[in-house]
Amino acid sequence: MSAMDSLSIHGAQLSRREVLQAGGALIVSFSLVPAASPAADSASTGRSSGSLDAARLGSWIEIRDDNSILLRTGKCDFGQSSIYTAYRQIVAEELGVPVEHITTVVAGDTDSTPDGGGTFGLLRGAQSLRKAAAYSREAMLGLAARKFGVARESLSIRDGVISGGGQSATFGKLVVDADLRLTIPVRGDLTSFFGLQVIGDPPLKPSSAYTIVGQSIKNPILRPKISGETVWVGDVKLPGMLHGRVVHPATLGSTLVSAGKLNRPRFPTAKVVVIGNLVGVVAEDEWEAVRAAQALAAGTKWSDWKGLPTHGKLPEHLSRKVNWDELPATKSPASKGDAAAGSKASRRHEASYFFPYMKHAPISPTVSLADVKSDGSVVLHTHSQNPQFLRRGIATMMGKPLSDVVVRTYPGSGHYGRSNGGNAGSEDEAVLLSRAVGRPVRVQWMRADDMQWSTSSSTMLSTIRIGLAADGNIETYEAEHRGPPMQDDRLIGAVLAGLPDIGAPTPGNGNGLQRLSLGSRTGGSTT
Amino acid sequence: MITLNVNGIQRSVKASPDTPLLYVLRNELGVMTPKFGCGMAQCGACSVLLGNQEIRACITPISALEGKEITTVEGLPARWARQKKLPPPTAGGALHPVQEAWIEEQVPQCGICQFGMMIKVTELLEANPKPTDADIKAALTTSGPSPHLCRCASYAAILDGARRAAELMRGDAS
Ligand code: FES
Ligand code: FES
Repeated sequence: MSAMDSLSIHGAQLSRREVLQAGGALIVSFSLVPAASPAADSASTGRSSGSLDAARLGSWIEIRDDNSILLRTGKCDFGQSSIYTAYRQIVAEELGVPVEHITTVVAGDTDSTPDGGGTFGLLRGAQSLRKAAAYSREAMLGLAARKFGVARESLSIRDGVISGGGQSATFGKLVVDADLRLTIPVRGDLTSFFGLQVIGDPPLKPSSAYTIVGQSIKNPILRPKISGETVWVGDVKLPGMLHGRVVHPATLGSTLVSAGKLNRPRFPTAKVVVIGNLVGVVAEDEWEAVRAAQALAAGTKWSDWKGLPTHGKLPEHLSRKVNWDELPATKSPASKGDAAAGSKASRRHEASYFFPYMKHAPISPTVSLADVKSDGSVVLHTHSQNPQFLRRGIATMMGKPLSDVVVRTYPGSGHYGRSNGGNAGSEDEAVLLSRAVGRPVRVQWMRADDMQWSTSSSTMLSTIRIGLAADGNIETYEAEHRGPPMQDDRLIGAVLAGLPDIGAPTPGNGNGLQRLSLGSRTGGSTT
Repeated sequence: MITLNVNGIQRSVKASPDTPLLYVLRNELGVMTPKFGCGMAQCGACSVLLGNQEIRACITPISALEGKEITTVEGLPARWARQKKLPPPTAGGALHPVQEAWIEEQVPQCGICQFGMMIKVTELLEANPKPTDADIKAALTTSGPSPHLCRCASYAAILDGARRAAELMRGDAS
């Protein structure tokens, strides 16, 4: 073993750093592989690579000498607990260890998790960890082959024990007293919408051999939640922290005419902050901040704006008023056949369906705590569906390098998707208020802020055309959806304050899941 | 200064008397399971027990609570131990049967509404050890200022949890 400098594992590199006095671990880190085809990569992320800050990031998987295993993932929990159940199962399955050996899951902190990307699509999101686990299993087999002096092919793994040639060792035993680094290849851009992905082709366990995936396991994070031990995002406190509230405009396009004033004796510690159209208030006491925001709102004047068609006129607006030719139609990848053939069908059905804007309305409105230091660097404590992309948005807003922004993720209220860009409301406003007053500021959105300004699913007008054969069977099915982008990930505070933002979603810039979305017409048929 | 009795401990608080209990619990007393959901008695995320009655901490000023007994989810294990004359609970030990039932039945999705749910079900089961499903549903929907809302829609699991909690509190064999 001591002769080992480096071992090649299906394109990954296993190396020993130095012999430790006590303990030992195998740590999976990564090297960034430049995108083979920049065009293809920027199509998926909208941006080129270049924001990797590997020195500050933790590893995907750590196998320790006591047989415990730690996972790190940029994906976060939105209530389904998949990263604590399914992700552990997927990794345990590929490694060949009992799921209980995976004792710790570190999630969503941008300074200690490796991959980034949004928390949407569990299975796609888990593929990187699955491959990292497969590389790790192969590395463990390589270590065991050297230790036992037998061929790799003669070894087998069962419940975290590798056996062969009459010898056996636990995973922990194989890493004892060694500082092992397994460097695996990755691709992508850490702070892009989709983050980094593990690439290469380590051998994956065939699903026919699964013993862990597919079993029902208990969710380990429920007991601490139920007992009251869990620190939720709204529970985080920092020394010197102020409580902030925001007074949002009366309508989407209103601009500030004049901000209200506060009566000093009634609000002894409250301080009003105005940045462009962003109006906020901070106070030492949360109840004072709540009352001050109400008083401030009552005295704040906004311009009139009537740019929206109103709910009742929305279907007509979508069907007649929008010039859809301005947007190129995207065709669903699932489309096949020729939809036009439906026009020759013996019977046709056609109907239009209107889907209004749908409020996601988490039970707890978004709450964030920002700490902007005097050098302008930011630590943002929040509950985010895409912390690395949020980090990019905050850095853009602040005009700061990515290395100056850290996003930490805590448990919070489920918000049911569409905050895939990482922001759900108060994050950037907390940052701007903290910068303005030079103290950490916690911004809790109130119920009305949530109902007016938080994530909604976009409205959609869908026309479905079905062509029936003479025997009544469906011959063609065509669905055309028209609506605005499925989501807009711009930071609301940045937009209100007139500061730089990531840009409105367009089919070209990849923001807002445009490429996967129905931001324009889609058509297709099956026959 | 107002003195509050929270989870069996007398606490003097500095907050002004009009401050809703929710902010005092969370910011001054470090009692964090009551959550902010609406601030308008419309969701139940902030529920606590006042004596043996569920109230909404987000709209109840502390001036109304001097000397009254307030129980939050943090205080449920000790409340159960007192009622059953058991030794005081220890950290990491058994929780209140409602909490244990919530874990057994894996009730929560995100879980942030569940503190209020467990408070409401505790209120119900202390008064009615053998509730029907209709009783449970009525407790969680029509009995208070608003229904208890779960945006993750874990309602079926909440019903399972409440049924199981009733069994555990009665001491029925599983
Ligand atoms: S926060 Fe009190 S009922 Fe909603
Ligand atoms: S479990 Fe998420 S709101 Fe109820």
